[in-house]
Amino acid sequence: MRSGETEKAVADGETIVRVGDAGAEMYVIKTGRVRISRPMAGRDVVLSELGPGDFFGEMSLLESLPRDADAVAVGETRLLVLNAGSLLVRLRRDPTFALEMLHRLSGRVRTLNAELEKALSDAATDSATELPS
Amino acid sequence: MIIDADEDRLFVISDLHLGNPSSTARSRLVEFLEYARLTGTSVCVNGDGFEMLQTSFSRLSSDAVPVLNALKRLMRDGNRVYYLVGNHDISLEHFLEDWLFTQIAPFLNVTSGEARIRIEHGHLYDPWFVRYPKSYELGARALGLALLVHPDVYSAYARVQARGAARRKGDPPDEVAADMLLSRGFDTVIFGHTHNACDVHLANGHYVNSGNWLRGSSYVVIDHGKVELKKWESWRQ
Repeated sequence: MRSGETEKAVADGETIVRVGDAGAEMYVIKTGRVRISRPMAGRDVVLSELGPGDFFGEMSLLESLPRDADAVAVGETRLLVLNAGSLLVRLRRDPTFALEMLHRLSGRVRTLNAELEKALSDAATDSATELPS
Repeated sequence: MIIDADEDRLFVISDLHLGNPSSTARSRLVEFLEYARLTGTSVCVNGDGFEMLQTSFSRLSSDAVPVLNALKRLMRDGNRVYYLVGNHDISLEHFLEDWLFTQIAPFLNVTSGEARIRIEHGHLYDPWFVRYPKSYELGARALGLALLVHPDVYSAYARVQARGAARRKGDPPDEVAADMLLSRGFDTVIFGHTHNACDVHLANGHYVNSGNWLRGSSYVVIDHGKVELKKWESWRQ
């Protein structure tokens, strides 16, 4: 491993990060899958399931804020673990990693926009049906 | 910008250097692309398809037109063509998208079968190109003259780099870079740039270099996740 990067093996069902935890690492999935979920209104809502090459945990690393979602391994999973220092070294030595991060983050914003639009549209439909005729 | 592709079957070729006075690629390439078309295989040109540092416009146009036409025939039959930019054709980036009616990408993450394969030209990991881009360009122009004496000074340059790394008890720069990319969850990394075709297994996975068509004719076949380095032999012989 180079410059502070480490590897981590996690078992099926093992929690990797939990909402509210302090965290200073991000993870790149080498093998296996990871389910990202968030507790909302008393239930666990699955936001996405990520596979090899995908990354997660970057929000806490980049913004120095607590974890925003839970991440749980689905099957035996191997992760590349990057802290702030090793991310900076990685970006210098592996310049396309930044472009891939931007590409994926852009995709996530697009998905969230579509979901927000749908939620607003559903809410508007609900309030319209509640209006007295 | 596309960086992801799903392909069951894909041919990867690199370093064609069309337009270079030393390039003998044109006729072999047209035949190879016809073979790809008839076998229904998509093609990825992994950088330095065209020569911009060591050429004349007349040589470039006489080499490029038959190959561009072959690529268009390939696409007309429903196959995809990916063009990744290298260090000798950076300035063509914007023209190529119009000429080829295909998308230009900085690199490609291919999913084939169960495998994840990274295809990239590889110049971003060449220490000379990264640290001294201006002197690299001047050197590449000067090497154009040396090419008239010896047809492939690039592979000699890559071999000198590898020997230098060995003296420092390190691995060649392309292998170090490939292993770094493999550590991000790729099964195979395919580079060009060095002109030296190779197929090696590194600590984190499989590294293949697609070699060159300046004088060579090596190519990589991706077939449902299986990656194999091959040498093109004329099918009409």
